[in-house]
This record gives sequence, C-alpha cells and structure tokens, in this order.
Amino acid sequence: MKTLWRTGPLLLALFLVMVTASQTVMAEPDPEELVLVVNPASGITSLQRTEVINLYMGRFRQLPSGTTALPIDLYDARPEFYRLLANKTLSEINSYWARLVFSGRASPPRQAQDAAEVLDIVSNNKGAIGYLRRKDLNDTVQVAANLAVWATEQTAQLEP
Amino acid sequence: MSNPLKTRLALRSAVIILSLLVILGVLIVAASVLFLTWMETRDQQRQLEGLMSTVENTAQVAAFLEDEQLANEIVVGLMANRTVLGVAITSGEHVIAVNGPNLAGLSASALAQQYPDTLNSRLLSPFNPEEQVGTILLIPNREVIRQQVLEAVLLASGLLVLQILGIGLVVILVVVRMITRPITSISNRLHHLQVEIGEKLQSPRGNEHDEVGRLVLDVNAMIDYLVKLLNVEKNLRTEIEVNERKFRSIFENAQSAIFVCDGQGVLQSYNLAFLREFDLSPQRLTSSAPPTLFQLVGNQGAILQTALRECLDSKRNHTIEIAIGNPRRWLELVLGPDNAGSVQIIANEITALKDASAQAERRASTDALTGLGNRLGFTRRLSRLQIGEPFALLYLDLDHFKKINDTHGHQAGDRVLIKVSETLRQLARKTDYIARLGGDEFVLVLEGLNKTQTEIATRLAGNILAALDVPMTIYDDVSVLIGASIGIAFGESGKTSSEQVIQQADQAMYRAKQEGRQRYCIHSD
Repeated sequence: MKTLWRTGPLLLALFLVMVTASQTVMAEPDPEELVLVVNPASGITSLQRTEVINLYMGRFRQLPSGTTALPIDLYDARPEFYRLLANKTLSEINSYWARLVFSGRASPPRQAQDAAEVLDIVSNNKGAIGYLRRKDLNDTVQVAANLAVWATEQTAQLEP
Repeated sequence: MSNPLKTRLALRSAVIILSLLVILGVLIVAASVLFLTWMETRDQQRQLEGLMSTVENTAQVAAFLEDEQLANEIVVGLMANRTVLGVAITSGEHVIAVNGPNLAGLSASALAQQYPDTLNSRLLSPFNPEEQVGTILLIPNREVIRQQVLEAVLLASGLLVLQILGIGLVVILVVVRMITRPITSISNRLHHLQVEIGEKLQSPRGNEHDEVGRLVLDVNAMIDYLVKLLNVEKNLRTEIEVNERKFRSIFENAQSAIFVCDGQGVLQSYNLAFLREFDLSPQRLTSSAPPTLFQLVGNQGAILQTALRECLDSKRNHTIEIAIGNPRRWLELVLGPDNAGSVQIIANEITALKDASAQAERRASTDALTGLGNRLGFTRRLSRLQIGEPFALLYLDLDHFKKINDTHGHQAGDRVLIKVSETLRQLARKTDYIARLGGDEFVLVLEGLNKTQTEIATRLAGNILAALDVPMTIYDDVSVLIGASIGIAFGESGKTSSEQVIQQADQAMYRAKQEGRQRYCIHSD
C-alpha cells in the first residue's frame, strides 16, 4: 500500500500524457487513410457500414434517397477497402462475384484505375459512391464515412 | 416310442444351447436394434445437417441478395437427396425458393409450423456475422429415413443372427465330437464286453487322460471288484452245495426216521427211514391228497397233536412214545420246533426196549414158583387202583403146610403151593388178582367190592375152603389134607393203605385160626 501511495502520482501523470498525444493524432488525420465519398447532391451526409456493405455487395441497388446506386472500386485500394469493410480478402470477394456471374441478379462495382477517375465519376453521377485516400480529396465530393473508424470498431468487436 | 430329447445327449444339449442362443440372440438383437436405430437416426440427422452446412455459404449469398435463381439451384441440389422431403430458403420474410409437396405459397413461419421436425438453420450475412439475412428450412423425408434405418438395422441383425447360429452349430459339433461320441463309443464297447473272461473296457482314442478316460478306469476298477466278488460267491456256493449234499446224505441215510411237519400234521419233508418206519410207499405221500401225520399214527393222533401244539407253544423239545400198527410197535418221537413254525421229529423204534422192560417188570412182580403175583406185584396192583375204588382183600394161610414140609420135604411143599395156586386161579374171577406174599401166605384182591357186597367175598372164601378140604395128591402114592384159614378185609384206594388192609386181613385170618381153622373171618372195625 505504501508503494502505491508513492507511485500513484507518477502513474496519473503518464496517463495524462497519453491522452493528450491521441488527441493530437485525431486532430490531424492520416492522409493515407481511406474515406468514402458521395456526390454532394445525393443528399447523403453519412453512411452506416451495413449500408455500404449492402451497396457494394449488390444487395441494394438504390441509395437511401432513392437514386440508383453506382458503387466504384479504386483498383489498387481494393484489398484494404474490403478488409476494412467486411474483413474479407480480395480473393473472397472475387469468388463471391464469380458465384453470381450466371444469375445476373447483381454485378460487381465498376473499376476505377486511380483517384482522379473516382473523383470524376462521383462528381458527375448523383448516385455514385466511391472511396479514395484522404490526400486525394477535393471539393467536388463529399465524405460520407471514415473507413478507419469502422476498422477500429471491427477490431473492438472482434476483441471484446 | 421314446422321446429323442431324453435319449440323445447331443440333441438335448443342442436344443438347450440353441434355445439359450435364441434367447440371448433376441435380447442382443433387440438391444442392437434399439442402439442401431438410435445411431442410424443420429447419422441420418447428421447427414442432413452436413448437407445443410455444405450449401450454407451459397445459401447465405442467395439470401443476402434475395437471389431466387441461386436459391433454386441450392434447393434442387438438396432435393436430389432421397432423405430430403422438402426445402425452403427465405430471405427476410420472403420465401425465395421452395420445393416439396404442398409447400408452395406457404410463408416461412407456416412452413415451420406444418413440419415440426424441420431442420432450421439461420442464414447470416456473408459480410456481417451479426446480421441474419434469411433461413434455410429442410424437411427430412422420415419415411425414407426410417426405411434406410430399417435396412441398416436388418442387415446388422441378420448378420448377428447368422453369427449366433454359427456359434450354436460349432458348439453342437464340439459337444458331439468331444462328449457324445466318446460316451456312445464307451457304451457300445460296454455292450459287447465279456466281463466274465476278464475283458477290460478301452478308452476312446484321445480321451485317455480326460474325464472320459477316468470314467473308463473307474468302470474297469468296478469290473475287477465285481469279478472278484463273483468268484468269492461262486466258491461259497460250491462249498454250500458240498455241505448240503453231505447233510442231505446224512439225513437221507439216517437209520432214524427224520421228518418235518407243520402244526396241522402236514408232512413237509422226510427221509427213507421214515417211509420204512411207517411202512409207506413214496407214491402215497406224493399223491394229490397225502395222509397227514395224525392219520399215519392211527388212534395215537390225539397224543401227537397235543405234543405238537405244546412243542410249538413252548418252543422246547418234547418226547413222546406212541404205539402203532399190528403187530404193535413202539416209537419214541423227539419233537423239536424250528424257527419257521414247523416241527422236526426224529422217530426211533423202541418196541424191543419196551418189551424187555415189560418182561422185566412182569418177572419182578411174579412169584417164580407159582406164577402168581409176588409181594411187589401185589403192592403195585393196589397202587394202580383208581382213587376211591373199593376193594376186598382175602388173606389166606395154609393150615398144615409146615408139617408137610417137615414130613415130605420142600419139594412136596412146593407141589402143594403149586396145587393151591391152581385151585385159587380156578375159583377166582377173571378180574381178581392173586399173589403169594411168601411161604404159605396168599392174597386175593377183589376189585370193586365194598362192604355191602360181603357176600361175594364170603362165597369165594367158602368155595376155596371147600376145595382145599379134600386130600390133595402130591405124588402118586402120597396125598395130604391141607386146609386153610382166610381173613377178609375191605379197603378203599387212597383212603386205606395197603399195609393197613393187609394187617386187618391178617388179624381176621389169625382169628379164624384161633377159632379152629378151616374157616374164614371178616375183619370188623
């Protein structure tokens, strides 16, 4: 007990330093992180993860507003995107779509080669929805969700 | 007809073994049917569950996308399985694919209600394990499953029954080979075994050292023992036969008549001497109605009968003498009882002995000179009288006998005595007894006379006196006058002693002499 009384103030100080550091990170987002973007005219301000899964996996064909949805993949970022979204590898996603080739019930998202193409499509289509790295953002699109947050949620769920 | 179950060891053990096996088999089969049914049902259930898990991923996708085509493919695939009666896949509340009798158009909840044993699996979103996107329902074809279970169980049970039967058969064969056959073989050998020449039983080959072999050894030991016993018995019998022949020969050839009869006098056995003694032919005794012993002894039957009864009653030897036949012959019979209620009799002829004894007795009681009785004879005669019988006694004394003896010599005296006795004999009644007591004293016993019949006695006395009152010729040229005095007394046998009566008669005779001789006097009290 005596030991705790002596070391107690020291532990408190350490804790305060750590909290301050994390607030500093939050305040300055990582430019490499993936963010979900929509057309500003879509009327969407934010999307839930489940909504994003249903749109990207072909379950929902329309946005909550009623506009036909047009999901777009950023070719290079796909592995990271699907890991963050559904904790799936790219090959799992590919086999999912392969299973559905013949039914025609749903089709995979359209492929974009780079961030510019994503920005171009999203800004020109009211129902388009895409993702890109934060550093490539501009004013023609609106951020609807931060994928890194979902990933944190997912980790928290997986490791309760 | 004998029951083969009771005469055949192998059959009986077979029946018992088979019965036990059948009972055991039924129990085992019943238990295994239950177990197999349970196991098979569980397997079928697992198989169905396996089927469902196989298609689960695809079904998840189909439910996720509400993709009816994909769902239908799954359903068709599942329906290819015979154990599946119906399948339905729902996405949310919609049934997106269904197959099976009377299932079309039913809602998901109605399906579950109609088939309570439906296998029900939640379909989760392929991308979000927390979200249920639909359900897959699988209705098992219970009939087919039951059929398959039944087939599997029947096959297993059949194999089990076959195995049990096989074991039973093997056991029976072993019983027959190991037990029944050796026993039958021993039995057959025993049947033809010639024990009397010392033949021994042989153990069946291979059984020398086991229980069967021991049985054979035991039987042989018993045969040995019995043969020994038989020999002892045979020797004993021979010995007995020899003895019997010896005894029979003694019996047959004995000089004494030996015979056995029962209490009724019926002859049971006899020897040759018996036939001789009773003057019988063997034919007469072997006839249909042989004479009894009582008939053979004539009027002595009653005596013999009494003796037989006494002998049997007292269990003691008994000796009697009987007289039979004509000329009369005396037999002495010694009767001895035997244990069987019969009497053994040994008969000896004693006629000669009897005659000699009678003659000796006669001689002893007879006066040699006159042939009359002497004093002994007289005493015996009196003692032989029946008690209470009265008698008269005449006591006679010659008057001048001493003078004749002195003048003519003793020879002349003897002649006088002889002549007197002749006279007395002539005059006395046949029943009267005459004796010379000694010298010239004579007595006459007149039996049956009492004092009221004095006249008979006095008349005889008178006659005697008269006969002696004439001269008596003793030689051609010598004749003498004798004369006598007589005393008469009366007595009663058992009441008065002979001495007393003689004394009384003597006194009466003395009185007659005093009164002048040649007279008689009666004793008076």
